[in-house]
Amino acid sequence: MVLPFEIILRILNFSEEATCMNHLLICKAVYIMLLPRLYSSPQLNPTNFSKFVEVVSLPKNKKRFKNFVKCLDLSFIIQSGKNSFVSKLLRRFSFSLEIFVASQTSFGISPLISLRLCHNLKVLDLRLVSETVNLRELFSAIKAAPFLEQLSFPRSSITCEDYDLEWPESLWYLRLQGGISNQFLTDSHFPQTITTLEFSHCPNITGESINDLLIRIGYNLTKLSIFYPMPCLKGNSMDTVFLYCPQLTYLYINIEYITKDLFDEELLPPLEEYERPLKTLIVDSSGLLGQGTKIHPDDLTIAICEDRLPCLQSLKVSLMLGWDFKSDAVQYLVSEFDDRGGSVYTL
Amino acid sequence: MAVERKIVIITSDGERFEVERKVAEKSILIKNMLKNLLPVEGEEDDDYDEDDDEPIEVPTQNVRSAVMKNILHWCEHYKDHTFPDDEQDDDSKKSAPIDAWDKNFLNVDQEMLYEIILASNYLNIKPLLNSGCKVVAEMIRGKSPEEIRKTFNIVNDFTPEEEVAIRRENEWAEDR
Repeated sequence: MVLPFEIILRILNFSEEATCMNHLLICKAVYIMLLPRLYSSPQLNPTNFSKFVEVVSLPKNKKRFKNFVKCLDLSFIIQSGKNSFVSKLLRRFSFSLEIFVASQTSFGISPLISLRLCHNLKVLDLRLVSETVNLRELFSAIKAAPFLEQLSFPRSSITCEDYDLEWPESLWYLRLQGGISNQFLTDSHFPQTITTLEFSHCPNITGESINDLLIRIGYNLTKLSIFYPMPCLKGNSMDTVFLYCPQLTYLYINIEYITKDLFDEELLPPLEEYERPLKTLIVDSSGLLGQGTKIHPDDLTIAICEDRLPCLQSLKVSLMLGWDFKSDAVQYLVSEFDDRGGSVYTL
Repeated sequence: MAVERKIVIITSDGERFEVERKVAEKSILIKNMLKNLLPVEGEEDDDYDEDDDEPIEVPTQNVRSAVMKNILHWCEHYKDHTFPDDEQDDDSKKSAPIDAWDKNFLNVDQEMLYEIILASNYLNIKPLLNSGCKVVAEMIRGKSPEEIRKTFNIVNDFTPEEEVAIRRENEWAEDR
């Protein structure tokens, strides 16, 4: 008995590695159906990267793979990448590429220029890039991708002179990293569509400019993360975050940048129109001495008891905060969470 | 109140299976067929005819009785179970393991398994079709192309040269 072809494909789709060599070699029809899938999101690593580049660069394959690759993730490519390779791949798949994750190295000026051809890009992730990136060039690449939804800045230094840059219209995820300046934060017109904002590795950014940005776009944010290290932030820089971002459902913050005032009635007032939607709160710690005393479990317990965080379900605190989890104060906090069906975790 | 009419499914070899409506309606094909023939349950049937007591006959030309017996056994087991919408994303459906009951139910010889898959495809019973496909997917896991072809009764239409070329071209995908 022979199963119809559509059912054979359905079966192959259900197997863990639908596109493995054993499947490709079943017969021509299966091969033709599976090939685009194999190439749509190639799993690349330092060993197979050059082989992959070689195959797709062959002149006879130029047209064949043109519309296949949708996601190009080079995050595992460490030293085997080359600017010319990356640039070539971007140009070759420019028509179909939707997700691009750059590798740590080999993201110089030529890949940046090739990016301009990728008009269908939805995700541009440069968070690993440690080479200097020219912001103007980056934005001309972004300008060519009108559908861009997610953008991660490079963590390297960034050169930039003027700030009148055009942001994509449907951007909702933005990760700011690297050598961006305070002036960039205050002068650039960030779009109101951003709902998820992350900061990481920004050596120049001060609390004033982050807060200035939050005053402008904080109202729309549902997720905010501020990772360590941000050396120019002060010990209380982020205390006002709940004031500026009343719609947050998720907050990741480091104890370095907040004090107990974060949960104070003045900075965390009950909202009049709706319940404050914050569901997940993560308080991390870099482990530096003396940080554990900045916030006492009671500070949070009081805010919860006073119903100023009515939706909070999940609290994650770093072990390095130095809280004694057997102490009455923490146990009381835990039982408060238990009562409302939430939980407290340690990081 | 109108008595619920019985459904009689007639198989390709002429056997008749009398079932409850909700059992038969596990098949979307039959469900849609009945939608046109019967008023929705609970709704008043205005034009009550004399032959409304007669059971409704549903012919299924592509399914023989031995297979239909199995299929109806499955439908009976799940008659009070509502399956999530078929529109859910593929990944979660793919990663979900085969339901334990389905696994035992589908522990039949390959011929019957294929017939159940074909029948559930024809009758449009997605959850059963998916379980069946998952069982076959497990059967071919780790098998060589030749063994898979045998399982599917497919003829190899590659020349040895083409095979070598495909292996070489997609070698990168094996290095992971």
